Amino acid sequence: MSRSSQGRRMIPSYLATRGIGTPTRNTLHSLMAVVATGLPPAPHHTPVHQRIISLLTGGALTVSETAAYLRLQTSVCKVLVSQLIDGGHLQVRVPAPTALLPDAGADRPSKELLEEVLSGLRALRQH
Amino acid sequence: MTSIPETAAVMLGATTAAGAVATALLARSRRALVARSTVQSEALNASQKREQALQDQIQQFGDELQHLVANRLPGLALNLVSAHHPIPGLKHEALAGTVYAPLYEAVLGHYSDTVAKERRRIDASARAALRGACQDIQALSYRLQTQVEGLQSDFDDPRLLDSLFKVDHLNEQAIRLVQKAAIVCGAWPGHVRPDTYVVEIVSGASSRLHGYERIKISSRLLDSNLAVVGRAAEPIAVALTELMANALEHSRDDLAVEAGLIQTGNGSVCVIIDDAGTGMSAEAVRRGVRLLSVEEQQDTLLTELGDPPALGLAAIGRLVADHGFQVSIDQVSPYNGVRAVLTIPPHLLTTIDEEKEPISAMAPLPAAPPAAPQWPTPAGPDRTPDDGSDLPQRHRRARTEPARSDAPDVAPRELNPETARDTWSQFQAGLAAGLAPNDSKEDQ
Repeated sequence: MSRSSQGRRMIPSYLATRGIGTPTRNTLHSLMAVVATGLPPAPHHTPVHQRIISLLTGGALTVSETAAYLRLQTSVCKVLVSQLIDGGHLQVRVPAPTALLPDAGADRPSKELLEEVLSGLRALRQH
Repeated sequence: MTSIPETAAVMLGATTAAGAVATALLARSRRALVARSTVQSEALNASQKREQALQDQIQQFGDELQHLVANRLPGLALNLVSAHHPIPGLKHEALAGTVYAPLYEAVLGHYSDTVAKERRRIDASARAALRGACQDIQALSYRLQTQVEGLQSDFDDPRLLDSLFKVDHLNEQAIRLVQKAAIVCGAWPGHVRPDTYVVEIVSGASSRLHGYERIKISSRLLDSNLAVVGRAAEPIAVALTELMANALEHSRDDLAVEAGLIQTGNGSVCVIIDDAGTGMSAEAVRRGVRLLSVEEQQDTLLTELGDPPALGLAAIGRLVADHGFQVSIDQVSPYNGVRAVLTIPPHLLTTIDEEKEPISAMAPLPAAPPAAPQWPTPAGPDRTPDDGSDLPQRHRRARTEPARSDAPDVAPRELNPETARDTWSQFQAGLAAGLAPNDSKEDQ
């Protein structure tokens, strides 16, 4: 973001979505984790689409994180991600940290810790 | 004593002699008189001729003056508006060699000088007025842009975002129009940018236009971190916008405009804009080249740019003269439209550290360098050594699955019709129960 704070933007946000502000699906949340399905980018995909697919090929990221990595507005990233989910290039994935995997029952975090994390997340959301 | 007859004879003789003398004298004087009168009549004739000649000359001057006022000056006035109109010459060719001819020409010279001087003065004041107005509007539009950008990042309501994107794009188009007009009127482009990636400039330039979806940008730059130095970034963006605008305007709505970036061998970067439009007539090309040439910048008047004025090429011409990049529009695209090429010379190029300042996600991706085709080398155990006796054979290429290390290893589920049916009927029953009004609860 260093350059954008220095001066006026060169490329406006509407160029990323071709002026579309409404995501094709209203169920997508900015904290949902998405990951690439492995389908290669189609010819109609813009450079932003291709960058999102290649960023998410390495592993799952939330929509907000994806937006931050690519220095896009979250709402713009939501539109793009929902387009890519429609095309089958991305899928929403429930984040499954190793601690929560069924096999790792031994060092599973305590219920209190999980509740604390949950309330922390809620506080963040309300904020 | 003398006799009378003698006397009479003498008298007669004397008289006769006297008469003869008198006759001779008379004849002489008459000759003289005739000669004098001839001379006088000749002189009279000559003076009459002179008078006639003078009369003719005065008539000629009058005619010439009449011709000057009625035909030549209006003709010159028309010629100053458009060079297609001829200026009539002298009416009386006889005047051509005299000392008066330069005087008539001087009248025409003074007239055209005065008109040209006055025209330049009026043009300069029109420029100043337009420049002032445009710069004010431009500054306000930039402030509006800042506000809209703030709103875009603060609110993510989709409907609001749709409208904000529209407002932003309309504002961007308005900025383009006033910025172009201001530049033609002698203003600077409006703001200085930091060093900017070339690909970002091309994308940014396309975003300022209505119909930017039709512009297909492809980058064939070898160094993706190539950038334009700050002072030339905005001027080059404006010039590219105008070239793309011309391409979009002169091609049909369903045809794409191709913008390609290449890095030439001598270190400059070329942006090539091809359209599939109608192309330009030879006269339009000449006019365009004249507007773009560096030498013509002082002589281009606002009033010569048409009504409404075609400002695009004139603006590019100003920027080219001020910043030292090159633009050519006299080539034909592969689709018989116009190929416009903007060349950024090495002294306007620089590089940016991509780690520190990553390139925008919306900029075109660098093209993969052309690689030699990789043929699969099947190394089967039954493969006979190539001794030249076998014909080459086609083998099916093995499909390569992308390695997915992060995906959890989940065994594929067995597909069983009964299980699937049970699952879906349970799902449906649950859904129905959830959707039904809570009668059971209220009954309890």
